[in-house]
Amino acid sequence: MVTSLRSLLRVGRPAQHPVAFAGAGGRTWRDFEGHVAALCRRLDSLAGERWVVFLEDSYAFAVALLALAQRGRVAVLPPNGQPGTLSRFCESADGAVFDTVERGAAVGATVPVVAALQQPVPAEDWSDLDPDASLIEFFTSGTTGDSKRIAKRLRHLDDEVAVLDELFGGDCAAARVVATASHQHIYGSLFRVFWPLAAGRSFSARTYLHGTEVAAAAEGATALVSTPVQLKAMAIGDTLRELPLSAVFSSGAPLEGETAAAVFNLTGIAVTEVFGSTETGGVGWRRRQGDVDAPWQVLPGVQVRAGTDGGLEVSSPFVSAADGDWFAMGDRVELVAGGFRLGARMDRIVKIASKRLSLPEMERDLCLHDHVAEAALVVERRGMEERVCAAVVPSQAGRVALDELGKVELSRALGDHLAGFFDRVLLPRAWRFVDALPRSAQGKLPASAVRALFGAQADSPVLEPIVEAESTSDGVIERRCVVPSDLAYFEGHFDSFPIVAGVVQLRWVVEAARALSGEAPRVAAIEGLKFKQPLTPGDRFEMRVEHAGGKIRFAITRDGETLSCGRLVLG
Amino acid sequence: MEAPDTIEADIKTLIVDALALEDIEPPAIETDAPLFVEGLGLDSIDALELAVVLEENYGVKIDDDPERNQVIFASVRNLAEFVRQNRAK
Repeated sequence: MVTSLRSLLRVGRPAQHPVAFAGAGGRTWRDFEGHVAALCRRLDSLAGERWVVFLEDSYAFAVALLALAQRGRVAVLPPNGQPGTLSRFCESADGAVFDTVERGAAVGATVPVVAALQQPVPAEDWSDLDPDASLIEFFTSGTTGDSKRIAKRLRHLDDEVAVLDELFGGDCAAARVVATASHQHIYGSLFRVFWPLAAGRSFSARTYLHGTEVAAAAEGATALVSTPVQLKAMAIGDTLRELPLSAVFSSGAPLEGETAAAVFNLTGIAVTEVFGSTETGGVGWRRRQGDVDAPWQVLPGVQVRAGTDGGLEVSSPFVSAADGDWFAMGDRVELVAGGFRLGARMDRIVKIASKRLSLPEMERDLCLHDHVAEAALVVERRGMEERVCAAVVPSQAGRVALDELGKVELSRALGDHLAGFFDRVLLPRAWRFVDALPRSAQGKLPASAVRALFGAQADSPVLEPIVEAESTSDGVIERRCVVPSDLAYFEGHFDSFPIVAGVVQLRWVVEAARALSGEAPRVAAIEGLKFKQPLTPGDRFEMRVEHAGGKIRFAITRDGETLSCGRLVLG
Repeated sequence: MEAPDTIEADIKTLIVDALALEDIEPPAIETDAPLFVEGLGLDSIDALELAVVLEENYGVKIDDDPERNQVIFASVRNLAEFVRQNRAK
């Protein structure tokens, strides 16, 4: 049974009811009311409607959103927490709610910045909220790479939370909610914060990055809110085995059938996949057991149809733009009884020299070659015309071929392979061989990121690791990375056995610390430095960097084994 | 009077620049090697683009005559020969 967000504070819960755990410790309903009341009081002294909200702590996020709503303000959620992004968002807002006021200074915010968690004060006599009030503005990167603003009213979220609880509430009845998905995006905000809050389930204030942390946090019945890229890593790392999971959710990008099967084998839980978009909210869901191409079921209240162009169109109570209108999702669709099957993204069907080409189809055919593990294609202007460009993650055999034949010959071989299926003008004109595709932390593979591989910088030396996932909380930044095999630093270290030199690892730690605090740390000394195991090309590793008490502690680990660690003393 | 090989070298540079070819330097294109498919791997879009840049650079007009064009575009040497015979005096 859910309590709508609009009346949650007025209806209330028992004082000791658990609201959140982890992060700064357990939080009860009494804490929550006190924190919301305190932030409301703080907001009363500050004018302005639109407030940038970027928080590491999901409990603080719940506090900030409810307080802003109580005071008729709008939460503006930037798509990421990069200092440049926050600074830009602050310029067009009236204020900002961050974990700390210092963060505002670090990003050079010129608007009032308040900390989400103020000293609690006694609760107010709460009143219901206006369901039509604007509550949140999400920003999503459109296909062109520009951020697109998507405003949500309170009732959009309340309606969707009610539907989620109706469908899946029974599965997670007494569960605590543990999340690896960020609450700054619509999926995480709904599944790990608003829904548990409305349903009275305790949720993790921290965003976990590693399977081992999820395992440690999973006490008693646990619902896991994750993303495809994180589930894949956890399934490979075997950390989900025998966890007391009662539900596993995945959204934000397509979940590979293999990953769904692996999670099921490890946990006995069929992943609940949710398909939707920031604009529409949830549209469909499915649980695959065996049938990799199982159709999506439509969420209650949502209507779907095939547009004249064969694309999926959605009418939904959760659609924010023009309520009641049909929204084009941009995916090809096949309607089936009770649901739909998704085809390729429509923007992935292109025309080259007036010949139609399905990029996903060519990607599939490229992957049939045993030198290819993964491939992503984009269309870019080369010379006077638009051409296909291919980014390829070589397989083990492909890596050997790349070393022995070189890039030109391998590209030619792959082109010849494709020539068996496609007209020559459709063949990729430019090739990049990479260690990993440039996926976002949500597991999305933006065309702009793939396109960037073909930009002018493509030939500049590779100095940084590939960051596959990142989370920050309480002065800690954690990154899951891959060592690029074309790292410039391998030059001379050592031809027969390339390793990432210690000084390079330190450089990466300093870079992570800079991302954490917004400014480069001034290192005065290094203490307790240990390099225990070598880090080699293609290695997947985890880096934890903690900034506390004038020191930066770091550890680089691989599958739980510490490769290096130490402390940077700041001057 | 230009050195006989200059046009060949210039055409190689034009090919690499105009078609944004990667991983190949102009001198590495063999003067007598086939440009299309099994040789440099160019295709029909490239042929159109090459025709445009040849016209821009040398004032030569390449007509829509598939048989004749097959000969003209066979190699850098043939292209250069065509330019020498037809360029604006």
